[in-house]
Amino acid sequence: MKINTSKIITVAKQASFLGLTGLIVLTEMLFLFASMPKQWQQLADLKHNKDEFSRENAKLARATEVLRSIDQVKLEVQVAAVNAALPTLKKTSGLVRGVTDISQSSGVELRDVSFSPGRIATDSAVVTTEKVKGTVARAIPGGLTVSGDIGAIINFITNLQAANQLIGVESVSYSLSASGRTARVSVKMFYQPASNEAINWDNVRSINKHEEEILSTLTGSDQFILPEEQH
Amino acid sequence: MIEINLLPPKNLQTRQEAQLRYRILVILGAVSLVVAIDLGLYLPLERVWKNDVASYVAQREQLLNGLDSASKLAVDLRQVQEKAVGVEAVRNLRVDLAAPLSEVVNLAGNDIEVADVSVDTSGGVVFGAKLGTVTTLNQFIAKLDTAQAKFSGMYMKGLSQSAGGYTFRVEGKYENKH
Repeated sequence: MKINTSKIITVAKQASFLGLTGLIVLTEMLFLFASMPKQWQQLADLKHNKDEFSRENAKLARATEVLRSIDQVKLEVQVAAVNAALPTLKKTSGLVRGVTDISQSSGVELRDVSFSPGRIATDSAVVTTEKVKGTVARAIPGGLTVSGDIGAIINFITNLQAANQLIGVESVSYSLSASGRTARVSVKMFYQPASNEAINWDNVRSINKHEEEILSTLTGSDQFILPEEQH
Repeated sequence: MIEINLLPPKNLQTRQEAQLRYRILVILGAVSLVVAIDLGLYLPLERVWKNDVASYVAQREQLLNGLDSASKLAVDLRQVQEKAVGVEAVRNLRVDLAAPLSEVVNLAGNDIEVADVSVDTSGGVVFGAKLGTVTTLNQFIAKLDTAQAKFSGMYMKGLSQSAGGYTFRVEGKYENKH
């Protein structure tokens, strides 16, 4: 059998061409299979981080904008007003003083002030007070006994309800007795514990019109404001 | 001598080779194109997005530093916002009890001495009173009738007469509109 050298060379060329191109294709495919998922995962992560930071920065920028636009003097007044209306702590010393002042200005004699036992401790105590539905505001139940004529007692109730700190009058029992004309007044003193959660900058927004209207209904008296309850 | 030619005729061989080369080149081209597209997209996107993330991180740091100094304002603002909600809820919850007391006093007028009154947030009103004559009693009953706009379900009970005049109790509901 005669071996044709040129044909062998042709076959060898063909084989080397096939081998080389096959190797390149194989290498490229291996590269694709090995690196492409990682690359796209990396890109997806980058895109996610980029979008996340972008959103967060937009929120922070919005919070900055809101805080820059605040009238600080007005805000201080508003803080004082809401803290007077709903003190942060369950302290009752200011309340007793305030109720005494109101009784004197209303022409009644304050004979007795009582609060439900164990419910008037400081903020370290376990919160056992009743919660106002839909809010974090709470109420301390209490009772007052005042003496005076019915006109003065009505005046006292009116002033109590208009006091700077929100006080709810639950019932009034007025009677004539041997000790004179007395009224037993059941009340609820409202307060609202401070939020101890870290600031969520997403929720930093300016005071809206409705909130302004609510704040404008608060009286300007500082009768119940205790310095330690303002901050 | 017999020559066995395993290869196809030369022209046929050339055509088959060319086809094979063409196919292989097409495959090579296609795979290379995919690799090029992959790298062409990945490398610039990675660079741009990495830069974006870095600039966002720097911006975030700046914003947070700025907000740190304003955090007291934010705390105050949150307090006002939260307490405004509480104030509104409490205000809606409260019932004015001075009003029914005043109405009882108005109802009694000068002729009747109110001995006791009880009012509560449910609107319940109970009061005891005494008066002197039948005439004032009749006048009071007439007043009770006209007081139905503010009170409802008013009824007098325990009417008794003694040396001091008539004593009685009135129970009803006060329509509290706060």
